Amino acid sequence: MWLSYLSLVSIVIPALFALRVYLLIRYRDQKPKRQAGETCSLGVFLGSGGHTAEMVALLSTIDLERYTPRVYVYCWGDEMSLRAISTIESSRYSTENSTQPSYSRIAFPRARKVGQSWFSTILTTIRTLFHVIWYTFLVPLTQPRKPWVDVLLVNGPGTCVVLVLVCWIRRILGLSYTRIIYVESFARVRSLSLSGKLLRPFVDTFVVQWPSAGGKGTTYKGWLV
Amino acid sequence: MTHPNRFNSSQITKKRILFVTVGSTLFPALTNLILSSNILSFLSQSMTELVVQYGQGDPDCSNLTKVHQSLSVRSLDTEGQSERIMKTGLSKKSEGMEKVGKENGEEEYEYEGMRIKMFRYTNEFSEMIKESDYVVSHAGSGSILSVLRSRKPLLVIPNQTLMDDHQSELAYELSKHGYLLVTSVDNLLQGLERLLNLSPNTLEPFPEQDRTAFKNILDDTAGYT
Repeated sequence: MWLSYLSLVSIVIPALFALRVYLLIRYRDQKPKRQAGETCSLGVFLGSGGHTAEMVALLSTIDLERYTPRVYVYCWGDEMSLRAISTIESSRYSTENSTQPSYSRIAFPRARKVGQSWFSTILTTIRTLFHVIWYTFLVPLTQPRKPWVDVLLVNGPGTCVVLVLVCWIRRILGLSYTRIIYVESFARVRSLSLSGKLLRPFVDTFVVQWPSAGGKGTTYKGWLV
Repeated sequence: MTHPNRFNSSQITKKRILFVTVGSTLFPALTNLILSSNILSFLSQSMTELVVQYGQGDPDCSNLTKVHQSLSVRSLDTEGQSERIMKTGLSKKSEGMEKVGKENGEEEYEYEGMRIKMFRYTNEFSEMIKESDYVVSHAGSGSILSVLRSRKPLLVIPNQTLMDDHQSELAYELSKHGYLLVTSVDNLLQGLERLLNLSPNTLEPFPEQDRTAFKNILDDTAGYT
């Protein structure tokens, strides 16, 4: 009797889980159809330093009124990203009459600092995971049919992997589907960054800025920043 | 030996500024070499001013004559330079109070008639680039983009001691397209000779940001097509 329980726990459940992940990767959700006037909620991860600088450049080109509301995710103590949010949002007020802020901010502890050892990275990543699960999974669970955000935009570094992971928990459970875009840095000419390599199979649109960086299945439309 | 760039007395009144920046990084091989008497003698033949952002280094100024030290606060940069905030915080903590003046201030020196301004961090990175005539930079993508967009002649010196040296890939790739010059620390003098003797329009003008490419990628992923 206990043997069949053990086999259920150790073989059947992981197998079903792997099958579910495989099917989700293999057969992507049908791309939604949105009317030109519809809004779409957007999550943006600001990864500090050069990552944030590139993200500001990317967001400077998009229609902020269409991508409403916006949620900015950044790491504790990252003042540069905080300033970046006000830079992005202040450009909006000049063109829009509404004074109501159509964005919110969430701060997480950083999953991995530059040069951190792999063992302590595991611990800090788990801490980040709890925060991310709370804010992007448990709190939005009160409205399970509405996604945390419709589209999530990330460009590294490590901490954004946790955000993508939590979007995948929702996918695996069959809850609302957040489409994910990863934009590899302009600095990556011939190889992907570590977070790029990790996330490539798990995002809906993987963008590179040099044709030699990505290869098959990646989107290349020239330099974006 | 007379150098082709040597100025006669009527021209010397015109300001010629060389800006050397390592961003917020530690790159002593470059910041120390630029202050060696060999390089300074060469530069003082044609430049009226040398501006050095030495990042986390502690350059040896023994060759220089001190002119003035201001204590104006120039910490906390805004764009394009990686990990600035975190590292400012760290170095302040680790070096204690006696360094605070040097930390935020700008020191002024002189060498054979050439003025030399030195600082660790700046709020006004883009302004500093605009004011200068030539730029020598580390291979950080944020710094490279800022300089190229300002259309200033740029010589990039990659930091070869970095573990993951994808940065020099970017510099060499962009130099292949003729947007900038690149050389190693060992060939700095020859690199500077090339930079200061560039005839106008030798370097390709770097294109402005494509303001539709990323917008289209996002609209497509979100389902607006």
